[in-house]
Amino acid sequence: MSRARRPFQLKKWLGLGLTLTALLAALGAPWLAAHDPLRTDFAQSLKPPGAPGHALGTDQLGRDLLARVLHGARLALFIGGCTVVLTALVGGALGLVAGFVERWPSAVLMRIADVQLSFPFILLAMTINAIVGLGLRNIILSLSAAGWVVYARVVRGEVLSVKQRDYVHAAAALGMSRTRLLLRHVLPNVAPSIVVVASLQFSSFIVAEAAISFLGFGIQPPTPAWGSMLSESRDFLYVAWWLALFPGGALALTALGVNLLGDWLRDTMDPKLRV
Amino acid sequence: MRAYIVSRLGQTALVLFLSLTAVFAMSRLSGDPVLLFMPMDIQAKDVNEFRQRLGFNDPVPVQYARFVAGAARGDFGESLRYREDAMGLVLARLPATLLLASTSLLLTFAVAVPLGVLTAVRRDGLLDHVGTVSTVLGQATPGFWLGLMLIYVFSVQLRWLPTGGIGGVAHLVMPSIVLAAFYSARIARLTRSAVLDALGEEYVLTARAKGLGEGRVIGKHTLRNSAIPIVTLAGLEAGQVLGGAVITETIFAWPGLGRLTVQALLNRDFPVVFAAVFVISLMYTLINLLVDLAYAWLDPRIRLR
Repeated sequence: MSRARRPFQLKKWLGLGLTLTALLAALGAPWLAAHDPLRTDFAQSLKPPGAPGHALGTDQLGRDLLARVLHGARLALFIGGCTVVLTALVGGALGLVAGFVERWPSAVLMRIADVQLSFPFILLAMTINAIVGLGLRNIILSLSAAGWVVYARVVRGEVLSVKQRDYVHAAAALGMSRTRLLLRHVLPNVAPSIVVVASLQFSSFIVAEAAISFLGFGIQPPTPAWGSMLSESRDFLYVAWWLALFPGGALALTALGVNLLGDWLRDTMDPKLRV
Repeated sequence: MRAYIVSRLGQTALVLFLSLTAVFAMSRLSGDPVLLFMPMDIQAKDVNEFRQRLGFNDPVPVQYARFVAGAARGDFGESLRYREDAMGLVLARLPATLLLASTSLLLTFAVAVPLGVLTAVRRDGLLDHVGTVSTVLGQATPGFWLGLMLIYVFSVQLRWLPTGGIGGVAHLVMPSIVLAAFYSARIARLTRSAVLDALGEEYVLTARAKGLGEGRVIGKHTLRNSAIPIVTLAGLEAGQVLGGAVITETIFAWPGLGRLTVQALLNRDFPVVFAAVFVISLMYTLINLLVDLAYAWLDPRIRLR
């Protein structure tokens, strides 16, 4: 048993460490960065990492890369956070109702889920984004519209099994109203699954946002989003490797941290759950 | 069995119909569709001609009926950019995507399944730790960033491989690695846990007790029994491979369906978008049907109804 515990702890601490670092960078960006991420300075363009005053170097317009990466964390975590909350609320509520009221709402919801799942997530979010329009609010809405299905499915499945338990039958037999039953006995028992799915979805939302912005939708330059920074870096790959390395590295480490944390949460709270 | 396949094909048709309706609705509900469909640089005097040519002067139900009737025949109209049949454009790009997807699937299975089996058999050994770390990293690394880094190392610095385009085997190396990376990580992790599950079963104990060699115990008794979850995930992920192809093809200028879809969305070339949505959903649902048929073949206890 003791042998199995070691990597388990590594997961937790590495996940926590990376996630907290990203969170710190996001919250502290305006104070940690010495420069304005949008201020251009052509005399200082394409300076390599370690240049005086620019620890990570500068981009083609002389903007400080460190400031842009830090502000990128702010944007990524904000978008990931809003999307997770929105999808958890909408998807969770729909899944709860569909699992509890087992008539046509359930069937209709599952049909919609099937249709959505017959299409790759990233392509769906990108298509919605291209239609509803670019920008911060619309990328959050697009990711949410594409992502709520996972919660709805998981929560519905959990509700279907929880409501067969004896304590639910007992409460119903005592004359508890259906709404109260749902909120007092069913919801608390499916909440761990919602938390686990949310933590596992968080990193995929961050990566999806970056990919969509990378492809030219979502967040547009000059706003410092990791995806659009990487997209711009492609034109300078021959002369400025740092423009591709740092924003992408920040994205990968953040995704890794949140993923590990989500894995650890699943292991502790809900080991049977497969997402 | 035949009834099962027929009913599944019926469901596929329903899913296709609903997803096309959803895209149609979205394209009509989000403001004036002409503005959405128009290339950004269109002249004001062309708008009316455009409106007339695409039939936007008709009532929406008429437009929808015409759209569905066309879709049933695989006709989504003419590309607004290339003035060619949209479905023809999509089908012309399909072989390149299938080549890329099948190469990376082969790569995935050649790497991920043996890796998963080895890490499970040598549990807690050095290989297991190295394997676990690399699968976790593989899952977290965004494909488009991996692609940029590979281009930097192998094209810019070492000059071994072309940066993009389609051509010889050399063109296929980096795109298929990028596409396979994420997928392999998931399959390897799942294979490991599926094999570990199967190794704990009594029939493995029996096989060992009757003196079978370890190779046969793993190859014959364990692997076949752990195949079901692996095949399930492979099917579920096959659709995501199509999604990954969108990004990979864009980075490596691979002239496939994914890149065409991105360009069509950027150019607001909606007939091509509709045709691409149709083909991608069709491929995805057919892959899932094949996965379900594979279950019955892998596990004769499963009866398809």
